[in-house]
Amino acid sequence: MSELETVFKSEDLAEELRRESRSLGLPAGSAEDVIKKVTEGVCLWLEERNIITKSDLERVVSRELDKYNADLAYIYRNRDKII
Amino acid sequence: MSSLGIVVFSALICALLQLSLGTLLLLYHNSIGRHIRKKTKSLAGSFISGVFLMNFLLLATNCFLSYAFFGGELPLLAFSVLVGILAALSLVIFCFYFRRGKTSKESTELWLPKSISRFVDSRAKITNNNSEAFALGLLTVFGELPFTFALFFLSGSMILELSAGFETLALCLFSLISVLPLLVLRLSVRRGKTVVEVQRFRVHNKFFFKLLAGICFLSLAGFVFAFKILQGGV
Repeated sequence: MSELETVFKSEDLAEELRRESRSLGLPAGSAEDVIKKVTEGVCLWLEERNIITKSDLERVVSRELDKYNADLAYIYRNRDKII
Repeated sequence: MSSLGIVVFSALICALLQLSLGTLLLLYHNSIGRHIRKKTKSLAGSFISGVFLMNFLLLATNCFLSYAFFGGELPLLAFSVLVGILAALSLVIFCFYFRRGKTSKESTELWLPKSISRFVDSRAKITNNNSEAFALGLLTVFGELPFTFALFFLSGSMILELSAGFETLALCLFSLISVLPLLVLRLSVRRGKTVVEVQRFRVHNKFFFKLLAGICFLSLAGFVFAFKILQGGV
């Protein structure tokens, strides 16, 4: 595996989403529900693929988030575009 | 009176620029996700103090520079150059201030040197204590100097034209006006606005901010031309 390649870990994604949802002030219970559904959706999508790019992953996470929480999806999509 | 008007107008233009506001928003976003609210509040307070102090110090430095090089009274040629710079800046702000591109429709990325914006972005994400937040505030004022230097220099010279008792007051007034949007943001977050709502507002009004800042730069150029060049030359 080259330096640029990393292994996807659903816990990392869940932790990132947890941080984002805390910053939006979402109730912990409903945030956990959303995170669980999103990580499951992403893992399902990943089952058919061996190699993906970071932007593929971000696109799918954002699509999954859109289904459950529009604010969380918005901030996830635009987190690097504030300044 | 026109000198005080120029100082206040310059401060308003400084307040319209977006780097400190964006950085504070990013700081809020990352801090609320990691720390308790009290810590976030204190980080925001330190950041705003940093911006206030750097504005104050830069303006005071420009007062000194103006005094040292021009004896406190700018010649007509210097005013003409400043008017030219302000007019050029109005165009630059209007055309380039917010980064353009395919992905920038929903973003408020600024047209700053990439290294500066990346550094500010990364610092805002890992800022953990008050001194770091304070330093970040100082840094963001520096980051926007390409756009604000002319404003600082002009205001510094104008402050020297005020009577001695008003000079410190004008310095404080400039610094206070230029941090007003940050105070408003702090108040909004305290009243329950989320980072998403604020960012959506910024994206929604991006064109308006750009237009307003551009027009203000141009108006300031016109103001200086009318009150300092035409009136001073007569």
